[in-house]
Amino acid sequence: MLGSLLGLGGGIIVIPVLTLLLGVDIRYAVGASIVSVIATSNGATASHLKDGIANLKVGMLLETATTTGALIGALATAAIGGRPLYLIFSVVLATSSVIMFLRRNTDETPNLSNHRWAARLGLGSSFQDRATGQTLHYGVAGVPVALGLMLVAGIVSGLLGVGSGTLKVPAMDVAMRLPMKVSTATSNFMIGVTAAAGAAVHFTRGDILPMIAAPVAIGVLVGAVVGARLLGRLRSSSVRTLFVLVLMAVSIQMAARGLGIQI
Amino acid sequence: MAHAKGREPVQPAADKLSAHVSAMDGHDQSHGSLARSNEVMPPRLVHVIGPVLRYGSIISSTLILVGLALTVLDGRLGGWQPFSGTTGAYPLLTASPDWILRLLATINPESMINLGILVLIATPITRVASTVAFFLIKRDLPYLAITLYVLLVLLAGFLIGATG
Repeated sequence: MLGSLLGLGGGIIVIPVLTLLLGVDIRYAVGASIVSVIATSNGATASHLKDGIANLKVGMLLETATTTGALIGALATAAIGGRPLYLIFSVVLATSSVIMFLRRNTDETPNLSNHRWAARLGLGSSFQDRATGQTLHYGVAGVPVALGLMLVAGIVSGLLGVGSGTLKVPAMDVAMRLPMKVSTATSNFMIGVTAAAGAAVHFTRGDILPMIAAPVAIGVLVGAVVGARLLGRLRSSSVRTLFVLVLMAVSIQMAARGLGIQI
Repeated sequence: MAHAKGREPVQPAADKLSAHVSAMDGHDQSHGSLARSNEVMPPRLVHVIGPVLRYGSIISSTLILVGLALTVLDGRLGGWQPFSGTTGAYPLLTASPDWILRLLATINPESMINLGILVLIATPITRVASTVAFFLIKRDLPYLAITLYVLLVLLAGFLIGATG
């Protein structure tokens, strides 16, 4: 539930719980996680669509980068050892959370200018903020930078079986300068497709064990629907603060993992 | 939009794109007449994606839930009739009132869950495929190329996973 509220797939919570608390092999934890990630995105997006917050065009465009990355990531799982990867991930998360923290109060004046490609593809849009009742128009900046960041997010997603919403949300927030709620909703929309690219590889390889993945998927799906309902009603700054706190916590945890410290 | 005066316009090509944008986001249908359509109202992308995601979620979670329930029941029914996916079908038309239980007993709960998971993974892929069809019908070439590329990457995942 927390996951979908913040535009995370939930994998970031699922993997530590499975490996640290339940002692599941990391390989199968990744498999179960990626399934739960898809379940979250499906459930949350189905609810979000009616709100019209997610920018589908931005989502579809960025999916080209995220799926490409996810495919590379899933294939590289065997080649790269777990530890360096956790460390890299930890650094990326810490960086993201700092950026988000610095920008936490600059949300309410939306960016109105479009990047050249964004104008061409008609990416700019508007949505109704339920917290304030206003219709907010916004433009889309920094498309190439966002595509590059999404490739990285996709690789992480494929490698670790996470939705990597932690990377997608800041990428849209900072590079494209989308309003926070739009970034979050669009991230949820993309996560399912990103994860599906990695999941296809994991599934055909037999890394997804039904008896582990099934309970996880159901639990997360229920939480996702509840979380998505809440999103429209919260103020952007509270979503952002919560997000920063989760990023910090996960980053510390990942660093400990990378260094081989058992929590 | 008065507050935007003197600044950059919200959408530089707003006039050209407005029909398109409204078709995507569903906020403003007042100017939704698309050039070459004889239909009353072209289907909006949300109407294409929404049902795919909803039914995909429902079907997959139903399969997974039933599979899980059967697993739990497995312990209770174990002495009565062993679960196995390979025992073949029991005669369905037997007069016995517990034929439903017998039918359930022929289903391997694990493969049922697996099927549910496969449907779950297939849902976003179907979603992308439906957007490909959507943009094909609308003759929207840039987005057709974008969605088609994503679909090919997704399908490549299955192929590479199976061979690798």
